[in-house]
Amino acid sequence: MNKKYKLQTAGALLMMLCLLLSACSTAPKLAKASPGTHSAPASDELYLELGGQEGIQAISHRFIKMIAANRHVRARFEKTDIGRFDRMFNEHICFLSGGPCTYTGDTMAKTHGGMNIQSSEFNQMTASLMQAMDAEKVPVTTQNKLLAILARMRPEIIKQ
Amino acid sequence: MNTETDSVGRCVIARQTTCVRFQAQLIGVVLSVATVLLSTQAAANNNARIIATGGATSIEGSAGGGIVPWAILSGYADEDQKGGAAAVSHLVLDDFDFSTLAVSYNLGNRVEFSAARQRFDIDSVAASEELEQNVFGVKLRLAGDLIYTHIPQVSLGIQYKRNTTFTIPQSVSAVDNSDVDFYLAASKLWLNGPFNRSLFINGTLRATRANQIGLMGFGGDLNRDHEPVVELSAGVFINRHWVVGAEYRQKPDNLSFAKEDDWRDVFVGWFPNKRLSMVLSWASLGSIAGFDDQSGLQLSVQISQ
Repeated sequence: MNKKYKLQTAGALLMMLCLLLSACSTAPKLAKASPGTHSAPASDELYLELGGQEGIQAISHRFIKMIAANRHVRARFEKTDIGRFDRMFNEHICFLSGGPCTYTGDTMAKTHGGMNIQSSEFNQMTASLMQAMDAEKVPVTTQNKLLAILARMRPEIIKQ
Repeated sequence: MNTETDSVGRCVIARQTTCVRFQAQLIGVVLSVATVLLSTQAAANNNARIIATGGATSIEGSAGGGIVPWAILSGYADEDQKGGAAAVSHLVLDDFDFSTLAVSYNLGNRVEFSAARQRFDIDSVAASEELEQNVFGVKLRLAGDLIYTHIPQVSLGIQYKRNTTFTIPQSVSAVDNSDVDFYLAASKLWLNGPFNRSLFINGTLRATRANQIGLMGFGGDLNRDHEPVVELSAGVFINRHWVVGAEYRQKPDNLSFAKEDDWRDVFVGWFPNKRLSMVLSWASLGSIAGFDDQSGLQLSVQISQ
């Protein structure tokens, strides 16, 4: 109709295109970022979304309960020092999500060395973590961010 | 052709009443099974793969979307497990009805065997007539994992299709009553996709000479040979239990008697637990046997292990 209308439409379309492209380009980039090495992200956004130290602590406690209730994996924890597992899990998640922590535990490869963890056990643990985050009312978008980071560790965890 | 009988339920003469009764029964069965499966006890599934990663059951029996076979294998079996799925689907088009019954077996998330029975009611064209086909499939996972590897999960599949009502297809110049489709599929799920939702994409390349996926036989007066077709699916998980998406399936056009169109659909999938899932889709199948713009709602219900 008139020029102004056309310009606005073109502008809106351009913005939508940019949004789509940026959204699409983030996904593969995130998935590819530092495979193998698990450096902390630049921002503490995820750490804050998880509820900071308190939120992560709650997820960790809930996760341990879910593991204890998961008959497919709990036998793997018979000799585990649960107190230490809790502390290390906290540190690790805090560090990986950009929080103010240093992870003092072993590498995933060392932790799981000699255990010959199966793919099915890894998936069972993932399911328990999802249940724990559900129980703690962590939004699915936040869960996805954390799960994507943890999923990258799979090659260092299974079949070691 | 089985003009007089109709042993298993269908919409023949007195179509309305028979049909309504059959459908009511079907809905009853589905609802009772659903109730049982939704109770927590029965919903427990020892198989380990993450919920919804077994997909739905496609109309040809293999794990997939509604109309496209995907690279993923049915059910939730992981490398050291066995699993599978069973599904019924019903699609009501403007002038036709299409229903399928399918089962599949997944061995170690490596190989999937499937069988499907398809029935396409063509009362609009010929009273009390149906097109029927059996599809037997094998799908082999060649490489990759849907979620955990950088490369997508890649699978190779074959489908042996046998049309058991070949008289009609033959009468319009279809060449064979049975044939084999080959396909290569790649599937990938990004856990943290756009807008922090999980994104699923599948691409399938198929070699086929099936007319209307085989319901109208194989090869025709316009083309007798296999030709490559492209099939695409994409879905976004709103959360772990709900997914919305769309599919596209390119098709050959071998018969001069009527134009054959590509198929597409949009769908909503619900995975309340690892035992049960339902997919509601709107399918647009284009022109079928001269009847243009055939579209309608499809409901697919799947039980999985």
